[in-house]
Amino acid sequence: MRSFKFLHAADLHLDSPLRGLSAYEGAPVEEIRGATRRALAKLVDVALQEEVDFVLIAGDLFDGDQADYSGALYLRAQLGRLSVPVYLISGNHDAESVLTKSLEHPENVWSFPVNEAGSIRHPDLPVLVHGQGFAERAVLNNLVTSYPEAEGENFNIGLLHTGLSGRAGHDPYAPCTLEDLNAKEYQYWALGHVHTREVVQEDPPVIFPGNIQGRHARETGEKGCYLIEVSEDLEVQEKKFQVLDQVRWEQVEVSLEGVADGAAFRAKVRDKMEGLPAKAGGRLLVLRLILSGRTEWHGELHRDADKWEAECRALAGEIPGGQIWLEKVKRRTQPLRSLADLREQDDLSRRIVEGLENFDPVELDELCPRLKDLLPDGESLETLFPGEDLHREVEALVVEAIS
Amino acid sequence: MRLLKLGFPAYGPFTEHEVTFPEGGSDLHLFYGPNEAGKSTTLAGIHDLFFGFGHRTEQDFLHPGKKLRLTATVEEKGNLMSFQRLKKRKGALRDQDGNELADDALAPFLGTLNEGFFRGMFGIDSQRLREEAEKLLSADSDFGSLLFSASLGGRSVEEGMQKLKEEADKIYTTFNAKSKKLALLAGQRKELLSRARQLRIAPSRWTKHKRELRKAREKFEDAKKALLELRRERDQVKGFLSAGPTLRELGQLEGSLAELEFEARAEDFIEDKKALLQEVRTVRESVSGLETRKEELEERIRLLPDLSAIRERAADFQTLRDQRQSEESDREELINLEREAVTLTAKLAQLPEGAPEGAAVEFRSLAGRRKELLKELELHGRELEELEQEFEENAEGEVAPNEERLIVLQRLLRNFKEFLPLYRALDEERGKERACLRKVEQLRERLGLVKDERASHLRVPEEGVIRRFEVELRDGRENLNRLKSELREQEELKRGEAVQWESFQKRADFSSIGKLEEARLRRDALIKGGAAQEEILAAAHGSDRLADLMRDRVELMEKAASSRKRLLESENRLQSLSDQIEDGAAALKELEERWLEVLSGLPGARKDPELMLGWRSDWTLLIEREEELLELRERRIQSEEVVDGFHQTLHSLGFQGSPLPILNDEVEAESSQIQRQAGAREEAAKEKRKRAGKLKKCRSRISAKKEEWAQHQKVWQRQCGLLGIAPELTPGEAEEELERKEQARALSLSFHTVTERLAAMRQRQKERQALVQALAKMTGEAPETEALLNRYQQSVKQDGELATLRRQLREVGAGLSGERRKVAQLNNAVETAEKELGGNLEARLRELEEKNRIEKLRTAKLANLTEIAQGLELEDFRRELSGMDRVSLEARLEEIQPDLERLETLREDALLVLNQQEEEGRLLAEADDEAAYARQGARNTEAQIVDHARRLIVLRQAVAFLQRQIEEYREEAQGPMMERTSRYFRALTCGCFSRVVAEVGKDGKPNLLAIREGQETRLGRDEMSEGTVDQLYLSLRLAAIETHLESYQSFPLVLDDLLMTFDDERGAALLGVLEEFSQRVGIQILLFTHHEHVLHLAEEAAPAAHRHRLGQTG
Repeated sequence: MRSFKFLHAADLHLDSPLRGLSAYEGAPVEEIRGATRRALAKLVDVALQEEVDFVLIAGDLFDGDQADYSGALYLRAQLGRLSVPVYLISGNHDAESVLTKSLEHPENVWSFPVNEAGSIRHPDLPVLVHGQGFAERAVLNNLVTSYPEAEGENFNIGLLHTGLSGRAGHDPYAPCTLEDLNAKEYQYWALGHVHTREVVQEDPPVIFPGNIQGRHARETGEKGCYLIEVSEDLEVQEKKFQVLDQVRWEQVEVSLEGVADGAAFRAKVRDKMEGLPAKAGGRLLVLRLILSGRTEWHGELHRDADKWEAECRALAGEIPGGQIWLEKVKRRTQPLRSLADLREQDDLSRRIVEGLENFDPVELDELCPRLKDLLPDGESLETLFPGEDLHREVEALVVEAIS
Repeated sequence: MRLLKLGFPAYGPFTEHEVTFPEGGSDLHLFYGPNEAGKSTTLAGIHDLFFGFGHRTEQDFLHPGKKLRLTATVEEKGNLMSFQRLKKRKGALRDQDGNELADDALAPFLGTLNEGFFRGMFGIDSQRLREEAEKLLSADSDFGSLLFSASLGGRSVEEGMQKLKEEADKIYTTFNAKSKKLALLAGQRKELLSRARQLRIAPSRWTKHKRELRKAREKFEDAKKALLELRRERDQVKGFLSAGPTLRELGQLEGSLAELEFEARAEDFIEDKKALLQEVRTVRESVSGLETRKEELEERIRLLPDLSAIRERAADFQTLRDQRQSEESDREELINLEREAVTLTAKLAQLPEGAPEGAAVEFRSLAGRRKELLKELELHGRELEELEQEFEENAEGEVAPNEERLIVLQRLLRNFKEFLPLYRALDEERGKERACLRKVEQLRERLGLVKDERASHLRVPEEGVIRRFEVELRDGRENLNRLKSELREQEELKRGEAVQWESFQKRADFSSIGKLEEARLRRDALIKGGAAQEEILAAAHGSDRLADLMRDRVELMEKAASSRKRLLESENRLQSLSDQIEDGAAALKELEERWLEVLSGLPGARKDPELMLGWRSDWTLLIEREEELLELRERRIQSEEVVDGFHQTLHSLGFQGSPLPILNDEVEAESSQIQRQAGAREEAAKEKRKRAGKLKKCRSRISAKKEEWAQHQKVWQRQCGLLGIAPELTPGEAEEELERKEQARALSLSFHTVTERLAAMRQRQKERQALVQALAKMTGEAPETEALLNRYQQSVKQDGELATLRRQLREVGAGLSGERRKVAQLNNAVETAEKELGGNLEARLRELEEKNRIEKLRTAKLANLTEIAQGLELEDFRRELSGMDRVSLEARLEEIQPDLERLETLREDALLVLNQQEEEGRLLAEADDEAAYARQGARNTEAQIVDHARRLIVLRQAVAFLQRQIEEYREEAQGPMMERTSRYFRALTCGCFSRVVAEVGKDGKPNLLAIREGQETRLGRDEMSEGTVDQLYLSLRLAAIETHLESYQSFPLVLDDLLMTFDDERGAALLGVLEEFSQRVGIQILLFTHHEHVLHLAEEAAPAAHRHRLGQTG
């Protein structure tokens, strides 16, 4: 018996576009091209470099609404570069994908059944992988209960696409508890579905590796897979995270307190951005900038929103050490002059300030007839302005107009 | 604030005119005066008093601009202030004693009132009253807002709101506005998504490809297999056909082998022996060559001469070679030395005897001192001469100065200090004026102004008005274009619908109904008539078919009806659109006419509002420039007057013509001259004493120098004697003589050196000639260096050649011995081989080679036959072959050939298809992410759409919110305003009208309507008389003032000639209203009129009012 290594990845979402990247003149559009494909190629590179004995992929290879078979062929070609077995299951996105149905895998790739749990034995190692894919998008029953019992003297791995007992921002598919998993007495649980990486349990390891490439502003930081090393006596020795992402998402907050002119504004923003490209390891950095603090510059920022966003983009372009795509500039500043001060200005101002306290937005259809027809599917007043965003932004403009 | 006293010391037609506003009674003041009495001037004076004269005034026709002055005493909440206003740029505001006041000294009395607000609200004539009211009612914004703004003192939140609206309108207006940002982005997104769809690879394409590939591969394999089998058969038949001749050849070969009875030898053996024979031949050739070479070398050595004697004297030849190199230079040096010796001898003969060594330094120092002494004596002599002359010429001819002239000149000089800068600045001022004039002319030309027309007299619309027209015109045109486009689309739709309707109608043939009826009647008749079963059935079948046909046609008729309905709808829509277009065009035309009306009276105005904005900006600039020009011109004329006056003064004092700076110099020169003359006499005596002292000192210095000279003369003579130089020579000449003596000494030393070198050279030449003679004798050559050296060189070369030949001879000898030994060894080997093979080696080897060749041929034939026999023993194969028919074999071969060709074509075709499928597979497998990239582009565009939509929504929400707040606030504020307006209007119209209401007209603009007492009829302004309209406007104004004064301090209301359109009854009503208004609101009112009867009316209507009369000149 010898020690062995394997990679655990999940949620490739191949060819899924990166979201929220408002293209502007000079934006590094080419740099984001094929980011998910490049991350997959990097996964295969790591497997070859580390000479792993097998690879696990815990679901969501594609996006559900995708119908371009070139992604499937790319996956086939990349997995075909490996000579070791690749074990994979389908996730909720794969279940509705037309690609999954017609996908032909190379000989070294093993896909688990979707109607019942199955087990596949490694050809050279005492490793037994148990798993079951999603037959449909919404699997709401606990799949773990039907997983086979662990076989003694083997390293048992459970491959599962699940939201466990609930994870923020993810549908609670294939729900199960940590106790359900532990009851199977497997040596490793390779999970997928949750895009934020998390070691749910150290021993036996229960791990979400997260997705391999961040796709929007909420998927920030390093993205990749886990390299697991198992000793001769079948104990997990080491769990190393391997960075695979090709485009890095981050968000930073800049306090504009004390800023009273353009020069000071630029200095603060530049100061905050410096060093970020190096931290991203020279990758393209997609950055969300949150401007906050009570500042004299509040009115200017809201009045000339386009101008100051363009300034921030220009500053991002000047930062050395790598490229930055400024995804969004969120204005969360507050004015120096309080609403109470404005209230005392005159009768009309008092009425307006009081009106703001009970601000009731006009319905979208009434405000801009047929605007909805131009918006991307699913967008509404609520999705465009989560929380108090609309109230805050309208207030800023109104205050600026009467100041 | 109220006026207590108003003074016009110098203003317009007034001189020292004053108006006092008495207290007591009401604060309504009636000013009566005929035309030109100064009513409008008084109104203008009140404006200028509080807000300044400005750069230009029309009130300077009697009093010059600098003299214009206004005074006043005002009161606010018990505080009094008296002040005066001058026409000055700085320090225009003074107290009653003429002391300067701060610019904001009037602020406590004016409160928030500014110039613009005064003009619009408190300083009104009939024209301005109408203008301001029209502005309120025809402006873009709603009526209430402007009333509201007016009552707030001009402040408007709407400006900020307008900016937000403009920004929002750039993003999105309506769904059909395709040029707006959001629509453009949506189009871009649609395009990218469509591109993604086109570029994607469908999963079915891959499945289909796999299927096609498998088929192609199977087809190819089948064709390949069939072809191989047929080829094998063909080869077999060919083999059978060729087996007969091969068997015969085999028999012949075996016979030949049987004849060659000797033992066969291996190929290697034969090759070894052949190599041995070749080596023997080679070595023998080598021995022969070496012998020939040896003989040749021996002959050449023998032919070489003996030159050993020459080689023994190699050292002498080397010396000769060394000397040859320096021979030429030695010869030249000898000639040069001889020439130098001759030259030196000649030079020495011309020079004096050489000076003794070391004496020259001391003599030169002495000569230097001698030169100095001579110079000093000369200088002192000259000084003495000058002093004596000056002393003799001492100060004479002093003139008595002209004291009176000096005082005048000094005053003039002081004046110069004042006027010269003025004079110098004049040129600069003229330059500025010219530049300004050029600019004014350019601007006037650009604006297209008529000559002499003052820019400030033009009635140019406000910037806001132009902007509003710009927006309205643009919107109107866009709306019209949109409607026209919609109309075209609708017409197209209607045409399509009409065609469809006609088609349905045509196809629904109503005549079938008659036929159906006929068929049914016929069927019924047959039944009744008891016709045959078949006949009845045929008739029934015919009527059923017609019924089916009818059902279809009923459907068509329904469709036609529905199509007709749509057609009518389309026509209605078309009519509606045409109406809208007509309305829109009319509104646009009306708007354009209004715009042209606004522009009337402006000669060069631009019809395009955007260009008009530029025009207006130029116009504003022109007014500024014209004012600047006037100021510059005035300043320049003043300066010129001052300078001219001074010139005349100078002329009277005898300073003619020239420019001021030159005259200044002349005056200064004359003044200095007079001053110098005054001081000269006193100075002269002082100078005489000073010069006597100087003369004495000079004489004493000369005496001392002469003594020093006598001492020096003695030393000089002694030194000259020592060096052999004549003492009477000047120091310079003596020094030259000394130099020549030193030169002679140096030449003498050189001559000695040259003669020594000459002797040495001549000795060396003699020794060389002796050596040449000796070597010539030994070699038998001519006694010449070059020939001797050539001879020696020849002997050295020959010696080298001899050594080489001898070394070669030794080498050839050694080689020859070796080769001879090798020949012996090889001969032994050949003998041994011949013994083994039993004969001449060369002949035996040829026989062995022939036997081997035949054996090889036999083996090949056997192999060929074995292959054809396909496993049969040779004898068995022979037997089988003998049973085969050659003719049938050849026939089979012919049959196979076309099948082979067909199969080859089939295989090639299958291969082509297979290659294509494999290429397709490769392309699919390597497909890039173009589709994904296009989808990414669409996502990026979506993000842009979301960003813009967010901004749009925030802007629109903010605008909607502000609008709502403002409207609500106005509704609250507008109520009292309308009530007041109604009250004043009712009073001013003597109760003819009960109230006034505000209403938004069809054109979306606000309007004021009056309601007659006891009626519900609402009258618009165009339905009222001119006087009633004026009364309505005045009511509006009084209501606005009353609202304003609720929050702000009062200011006198000045009304000029408002009664022109009022009849006596309403004129009296006005006086009563004003008196009541003044008392109730606490405002001072000044009413100007040129109708004397107004005073009479006031006696009854406003008995407490004060009366003032204005005369022609106050």
